[in-house]
Amino acid sequence: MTALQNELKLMIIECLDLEDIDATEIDDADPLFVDGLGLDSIDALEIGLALQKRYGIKLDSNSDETRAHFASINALADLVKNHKSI
Amino acid sequence: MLHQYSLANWMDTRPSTAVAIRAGVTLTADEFIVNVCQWKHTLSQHSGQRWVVYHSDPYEFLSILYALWYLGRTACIPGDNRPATITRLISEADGGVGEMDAGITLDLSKPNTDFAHTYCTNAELANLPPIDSQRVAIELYTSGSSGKPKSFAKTLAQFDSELHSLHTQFPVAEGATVLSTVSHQHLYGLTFRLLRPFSYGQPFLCELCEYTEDIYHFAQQQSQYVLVSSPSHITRVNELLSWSSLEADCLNIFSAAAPLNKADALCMSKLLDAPLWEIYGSSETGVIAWRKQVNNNQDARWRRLPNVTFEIDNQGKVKVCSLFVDKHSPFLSDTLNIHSDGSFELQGRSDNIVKIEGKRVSLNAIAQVLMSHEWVLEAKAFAITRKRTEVASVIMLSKEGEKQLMLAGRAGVIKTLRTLLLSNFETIVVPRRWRFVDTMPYNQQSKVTLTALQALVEQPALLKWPAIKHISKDTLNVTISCTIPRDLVYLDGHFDQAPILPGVAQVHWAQKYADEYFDISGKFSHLEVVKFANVIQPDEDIDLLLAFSPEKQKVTFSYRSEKGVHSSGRICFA
Repeated sequence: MTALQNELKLMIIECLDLEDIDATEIDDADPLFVDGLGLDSIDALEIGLALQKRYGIKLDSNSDETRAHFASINALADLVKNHKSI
Repeated sequence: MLHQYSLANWMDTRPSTAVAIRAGVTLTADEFIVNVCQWKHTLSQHSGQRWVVYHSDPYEFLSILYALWYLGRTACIPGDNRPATITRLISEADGGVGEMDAGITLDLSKPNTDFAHTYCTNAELANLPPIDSQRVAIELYTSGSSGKPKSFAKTLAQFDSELHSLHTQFPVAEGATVLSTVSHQHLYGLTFRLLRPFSYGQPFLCELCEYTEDIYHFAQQQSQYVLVSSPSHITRVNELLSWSSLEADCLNIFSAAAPLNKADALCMSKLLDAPLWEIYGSSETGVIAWRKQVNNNQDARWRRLPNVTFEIDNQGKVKVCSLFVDKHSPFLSDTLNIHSDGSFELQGRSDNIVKIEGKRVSLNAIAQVLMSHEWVLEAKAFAITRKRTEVASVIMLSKEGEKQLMLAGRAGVIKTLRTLLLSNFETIVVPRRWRFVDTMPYNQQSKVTLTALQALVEQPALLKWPAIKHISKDTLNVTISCTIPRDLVYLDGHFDQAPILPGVAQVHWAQKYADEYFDISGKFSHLEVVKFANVIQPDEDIDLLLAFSPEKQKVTFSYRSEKGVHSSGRICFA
């Protein structure tokens, strides 16, 4: 697990006020929605806002692309990395 | 100002009028009628009056509704597509249409034009029977306070008069496209996202704006638009996008499902440079009132829409009177503070229904589903507001449930109960916080108060068992690899500065797991050679080793870690 992945996990737990979940229990490749962490559509909006506040990321793409970015911790990490390198 | 077409006689509309925009393509009234005929043809091959309709595409959804109406049938509209919801509704209706298991769908292998040629001759188009606007056109389902979903019937005449009342207050503008973040399967979305634009010849966008970025994205493709949204999205709008540089003109923003914070309403209105109208209503009553916040130090009051009046009964309950209210349940579940000029403020609900992110949910229904599980003896569901308003649950487990808690831990038990709820409810309303208790927090009047339940959730969950990471076992040996949680009930009050796992808890665990994993015939008799060599602290990774001797009916236990043996002993059964 890289530092960025861990940072994203802590951000998600904090911004979604999640209980019963520890950063070490979230698998980098596991789905965040439905099956994996079981997050809902409001959580998706909150994660979008947190990315905007913390990393200045704007998701001005369509839902399908956004959904792909939000698929897992790894996908989110790629999004942040690509944004930083621009 | 645009002319209103009655929903029953919408064919009076101009044939080239845009009905919807899907994937950037404009779908006209001409194409719409072909699509309706196609659905009508498919549905006419099945008999039955009442059909459950679920379709995520609003254009197809509206086509199905019209197909049913032309056949003189009724559409039953579920608020979600959870398997249990759909199954229950279908069992009470004649079948399902659209996106659901075994739902009737169109055969898309035939291109539209062929179909139009084969089945949709001009004669058939001309011969579409009139729709009786006084018949029940739709039945909507929503959460009732008993826990059982309530249904409401509406006729097209009622919708027509509701749309007329809305149009008087908020004239529908020509040339704008309706963008939306809300589903058309609920009354607000059905009215504002579909029927309102449709009856005025204003196109709606088929794509749902799931993120606020989608609004920005789709607005770029329009010259003028109207936004139909709700507090879930408006309070979480991405302010970093350069909304002001959008060339598209936002004419109106509508928000319903729950009241907005004044600051959020003003922020959104400023961001899109458009008036934001909050709409107040319910499934039972249709639209009732509206408000628009202004930048002063008071909350704007709600004002009734034209043709809506109130009657107050002798118990202070508010009866809504309009042409579009459901005659069987005209009373509001909200308490109002009505001023002399007729404007009012909302003062909360008077039943056990809550709104979570604008979605109405019966807490009794959640508790009832939980109590249907064999692990649950008693369950309470309630709302708690932390970062957002969410549902929490306090549960008294059955004997079997307690056993599962010991073997699978909180995570395992919660997962099972969540899965059960998810087949009945949308994720948003499923509890996010769980507390397992030995007794419900009764007060001196033998009541379980909301405050007491909420207090339980504000405290960390107290745990009775180690957090199990791995178990390896054969008939006579078990090794339980676990972590000692911080929030263990046994650590409470025990040397607050340097908590340790008490010896009595260690022996208790050893005996309970031995009981579970070995074929022990006797009952606990006594302990032998118990030694506590090293303390066990929270967060430590520990292996609990158990070995059973059937001849002697004794279980040897030891707690070990990389530091060595913490404790050991023998439990004798007789």
